[in-house]
Amino acid sequence: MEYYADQGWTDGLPVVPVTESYLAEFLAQTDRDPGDVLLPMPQLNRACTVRLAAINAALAGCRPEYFPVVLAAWESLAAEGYPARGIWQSTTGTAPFLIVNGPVRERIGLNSQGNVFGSGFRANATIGRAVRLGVLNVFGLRPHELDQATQGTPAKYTFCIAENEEESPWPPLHAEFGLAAADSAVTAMVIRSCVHIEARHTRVPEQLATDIAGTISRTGALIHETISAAVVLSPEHARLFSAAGWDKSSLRQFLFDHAVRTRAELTAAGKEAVSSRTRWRLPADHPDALPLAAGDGAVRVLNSPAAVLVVVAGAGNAGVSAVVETFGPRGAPPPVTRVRSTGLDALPLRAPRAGGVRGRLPGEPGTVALAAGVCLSDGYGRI
Amino acid sequence: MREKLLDPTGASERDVDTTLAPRPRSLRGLTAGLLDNAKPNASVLLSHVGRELRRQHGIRDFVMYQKGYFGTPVEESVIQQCSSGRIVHWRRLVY
Repeated sequence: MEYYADQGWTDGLPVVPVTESYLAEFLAQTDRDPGDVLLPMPQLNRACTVRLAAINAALAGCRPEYFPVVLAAWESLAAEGYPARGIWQSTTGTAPFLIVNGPVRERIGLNSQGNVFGSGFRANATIGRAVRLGVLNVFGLRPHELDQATQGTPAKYTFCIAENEEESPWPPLHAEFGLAAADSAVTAMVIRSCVHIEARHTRVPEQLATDIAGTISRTGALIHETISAAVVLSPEHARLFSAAGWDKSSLRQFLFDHAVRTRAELTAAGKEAVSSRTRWRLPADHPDALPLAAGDGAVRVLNSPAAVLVVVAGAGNAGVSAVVETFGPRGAPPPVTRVRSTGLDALPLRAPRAGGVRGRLPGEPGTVALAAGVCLSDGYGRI
Repeated sequence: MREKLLDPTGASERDVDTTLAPRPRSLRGLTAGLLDNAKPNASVLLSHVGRELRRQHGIRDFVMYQKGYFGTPVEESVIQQCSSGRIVHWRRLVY
């Protein structure tokens, strides 16, 4: 453990030592060749392969059976577009955000209920961490070096949730975008913030949606001309909308129409105009500023209803939801990626628990002793 | 039996040469290539850098090049233009 810390191969927290024999348990979870490239970054002369993704998943404390989800996460991030274009080197410190759907959630104990976004569940904690350790180690995107984030976000430790499909009145995210509900999938995005909505006061859907729109339209998030978001509704809020006849599309349309700022509000923050070179917001008197449209009316901060995703997660015990501020204007379908594995369906259901990990036995740096008496006891007869 | 701990960076598997190009001993008389990464104000800043290099370090001249997008590698065609003469190059590394 200290060896990895001494090499600078951690995220600041202790990691699990990884040996070739331990790695083999992860690679056995997939048919993919270990040399297959998941995400290339040519500007860095680096690429994340299946093997490197597995080493960092093991390092993160994943169980081997989480690895197919980790693979799908990397594939989704490659399709997402921003990571390959260098966003993780940027001063805008984004984190990878993973949403998991389908039967794999229950099989590996991914939390979609109370305290979602928070700690306490090994699958959530380690799958998100597996990606971040890969970003640090494989691509060398370390803070103060190639990661020039001005300020990061706690989500850069780990940010992985499952959708609470069971308590949602609507189709799950992956089914909205073409997969079968019985498929398992990961949808990855890069995000800036996770902002809570306290709304226990109303049964009127327009009031609740207006409360959410107010957070989406805050000027502080408006680096670009428009913003995008993933709205994570608690089951109570989802049921409130559903009982009034709203579906995910209705909510998206309302948010598109009502996530607005007046010209005066934007001007007070110096964000009333848009750059002709970059589409970033800036004051109207900046040399790069495009002429303002006529009128002082409300300015939409979303470019389309499709710039908002809607998922359901959290406990069904209060009216608390969240807006996850995704990076970029968006509007195209998100990168929903199927989880593929050799034997996922054969796994028995596993309740979420914080299990033990292989400990480091004393010995010389860079090695770990194999002790015949150490048994991972995973129920499959594997040690 | 002891097992080696694995490197999570892939360094041992990489075969790309990343050694740096040799540095000139002096800038005097050279022509500098300055790469605008298309960020706001890049051209303004680099023009000033070019004038300062001329004033303080005696470069003969500077040439501005432009990337298509700040987050991705410079286009091969631009590299070809740059490497067609004896030019010392700087990249703007601010993100």
